Amino acid sequence: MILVRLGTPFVKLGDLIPVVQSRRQLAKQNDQLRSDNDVLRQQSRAIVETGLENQRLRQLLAMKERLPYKTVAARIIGRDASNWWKSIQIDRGSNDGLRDNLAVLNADGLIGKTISVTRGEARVLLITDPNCKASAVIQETRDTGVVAGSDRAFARDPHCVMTYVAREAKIKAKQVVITSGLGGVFPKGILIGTVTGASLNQQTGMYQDIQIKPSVDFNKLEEVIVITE
Amino acid sequence: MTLLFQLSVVFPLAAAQAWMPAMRWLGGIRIEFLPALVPWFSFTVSRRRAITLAIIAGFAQDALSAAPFGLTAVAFVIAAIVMTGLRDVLARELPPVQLVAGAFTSALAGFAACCVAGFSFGGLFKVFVIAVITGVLTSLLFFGIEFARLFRRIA
Repeated sequence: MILVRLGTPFVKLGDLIPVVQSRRQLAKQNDQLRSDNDVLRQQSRAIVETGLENQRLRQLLAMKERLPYKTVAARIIGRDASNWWKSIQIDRGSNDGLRDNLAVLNADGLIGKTISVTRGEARVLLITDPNCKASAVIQETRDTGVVAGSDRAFARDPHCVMTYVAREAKIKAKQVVITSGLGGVFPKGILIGTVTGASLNQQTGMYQDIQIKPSVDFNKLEEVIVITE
Repeated sequence: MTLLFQLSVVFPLAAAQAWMPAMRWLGGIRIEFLPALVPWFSFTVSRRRAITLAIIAGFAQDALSAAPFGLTAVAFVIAAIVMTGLRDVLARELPPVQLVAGAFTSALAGFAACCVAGFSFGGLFKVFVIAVITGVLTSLLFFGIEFARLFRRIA
């Protein structure tokens, strides 16, 4: 009887050993679960990103199928390293049928034209650069002009100016501007942007300068289509 | 400092310059790292190597830009020649001198760009703003490198 009573605490202590072991196992399991959680969160983010990319590519594909031209889809791999030019680098080059002066667009509208093409890459001069000029027409009134990037030194959001518009043209805000097809670089009917304001040309007063907000958000470009033929 | 190490600084910074988005709150200006490197080379390595590295940095920037190839390289070389010529009479360890050197390099590159793209009041003001930003960046670069050297000696 005495021996049983003396032995009881040791028996109870012995009962605790599996608990201690299970705590160790729990800690190990916890670490494993945390690690799994990290991996799953990373995978979840990747899936969201893939979904978004899928959505963008679907839009691009829909546009590609709508266009009556031969096109090449490209990813943007770099922006312009300088503050003085507005261009982007894409991952397609002459090996994919690209050459200079090809129109580049996405589902939102006109982006620019190719200017220097290597075998695997090409540089695209954006329509917001003053050196990139496109013949354009106001869709509603059919007034024509030349769209180029604004040479304003500081601009939070890049915008364009349509020059050589007849001074008697009745321009209103939110009118749509599209390419006219003249000039041979940009095909007719590509959306450029919407009118935000108009004023007489300050130097000559002979024609109007129209401010245009591009339909493309140039800060969020990721994939583009190049019209090769 | 080996040439390989110096080149390993130029190319990642050129890539970072092309990769970084423009700062919309600063009127769409983007930070230029390479003009900040030119004073560092001009003040710390031999004249011939400083000019060579300035050419490489200029070409690296032009390769990642729509600028006429070699335009920035010419501006950087002129800056390197001027700074290596004056470095013995300049207190080059002083941050204001480094700031002016960085701003000078950036301003030269800006003027070269304006020669091609066209001059305007806004453009000249932009040259000034970018030059100031690059000047500050140059001082920070010198400070960072000195700090790293000191840290390495202590460690």
